Amino acid sequence: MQFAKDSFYMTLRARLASRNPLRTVVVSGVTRPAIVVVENELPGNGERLPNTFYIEWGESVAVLDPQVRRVRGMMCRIGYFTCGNVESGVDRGRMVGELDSELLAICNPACTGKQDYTQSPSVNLGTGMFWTYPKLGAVNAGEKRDGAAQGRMERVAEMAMYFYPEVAA
Amino acid sequence: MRGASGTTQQLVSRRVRAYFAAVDRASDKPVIFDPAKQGAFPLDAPPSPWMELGEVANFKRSGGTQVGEMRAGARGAVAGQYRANLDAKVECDFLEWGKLQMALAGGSQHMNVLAEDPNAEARATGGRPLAAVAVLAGSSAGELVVGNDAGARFAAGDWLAVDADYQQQTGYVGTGIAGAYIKDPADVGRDINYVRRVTFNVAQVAQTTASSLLLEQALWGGVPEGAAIQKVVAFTDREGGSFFQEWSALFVMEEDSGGRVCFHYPRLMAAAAVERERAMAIAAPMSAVALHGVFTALPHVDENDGEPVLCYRSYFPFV
Repeated sequence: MQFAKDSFYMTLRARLASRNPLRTVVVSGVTRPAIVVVENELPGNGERLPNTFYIEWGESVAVLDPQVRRVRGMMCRIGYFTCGNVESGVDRGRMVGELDSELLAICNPACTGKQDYTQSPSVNLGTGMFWTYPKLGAVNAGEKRDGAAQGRMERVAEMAMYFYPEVAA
Repeated sequence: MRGASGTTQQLVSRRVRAYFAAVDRASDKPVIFDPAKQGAFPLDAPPSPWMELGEVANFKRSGGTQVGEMRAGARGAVAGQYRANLDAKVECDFLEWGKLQMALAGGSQHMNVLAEDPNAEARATGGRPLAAVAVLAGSSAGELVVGNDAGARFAAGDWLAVDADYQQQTGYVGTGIAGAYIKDPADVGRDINYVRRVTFNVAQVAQTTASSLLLEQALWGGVPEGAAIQKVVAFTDREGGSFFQEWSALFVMEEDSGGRVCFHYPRLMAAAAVERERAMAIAAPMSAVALHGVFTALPHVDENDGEPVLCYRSYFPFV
């Protein structure tokens, strides 16, 4: 299962770096594409950063046809927010739209090969993995926080990721 | 649960696994599953020459054998019965795709699409292929010696067809498993590569060494004399074709409750099928696509009593 999670992340990260090289974030002093797996970061690693995709893994998802037993599913939530690029924050909607577009772009094609990233170079594990297209949740236009000059607009996209686990069912 | 007799048990099983072996077409000899000797085999390691084809879904057996009645006496009462027109079919969905599964579901010649000469004329199963590479002495079913430039010619992950050149013979061709029947060399254009186009002697390269190719799995038919290698880029089956493959089959219901049931068909041939593939929904719009196979059972004469039999069902109370 970890290989599938790693492969999903590395695929989206590479696609984001290719599509928008300027979409970066500094985490723990390191600049990298602005996509982060929450469970891979240090606990309590501060507030989330704007204009960054945060991946969180959710519950197991059943396959519709019970005869497809070898495939396993897992929910994936990708949250992101923006405060806009101008002081007044009036471009927040446009910024969310840009993030939406980038997310949809990097999730397509909705498949990749599964790799073992615990080795370098990574090793092809011989199976593919695939996911549903992201379902974009409602935009939450939050109230002003902590005296910040701008409110923030945030969205959570959901998708189900499917893969062949290393251990046969 | 054990019944009052102490020998009965409810059967619980959640999956069926399929194993096939090729009927020797030249001698018309099927592969026999001996329940006394082989019944408790580990399902991941079937006894030779059975080959595992993975889990199957929608496994369904049906019998069409007719039972006739003999009537006698003034009132025409049934005095006896007899069986006629022996008929049995079995169908299933192969959840995994591979050469064997495709070949079984298709039922006719199953073609290896050989890597092609870029200038070749387009053909539906591949045109003139690139020249074959000879297999050298010292090769085995798991390692092919090809010379000092092995790594330049082939790479890990490549699929290979390994068989002899076509020598204009007639009859069944293909090492290990008959892949086609040739009535006249002119039918196949006297193509020196034809045997490799239909052979089941295929394998994937696991890794290359300085002079040889190590295979992911041993070649089913070993390395025949005069064998050569061609790269396979795809597998193709066809609606049509005059050839019928013939297989021995074994279906096993896994023993969730402790008891195992095996269905042994000594001789199976592909039957007419309306559906060729079946979609199994994962999450809209994604589906897993299974190969749907329908087979007709041919009779085998039981060696113990001379009875013609289409299928055997064996129950093992505990495995």
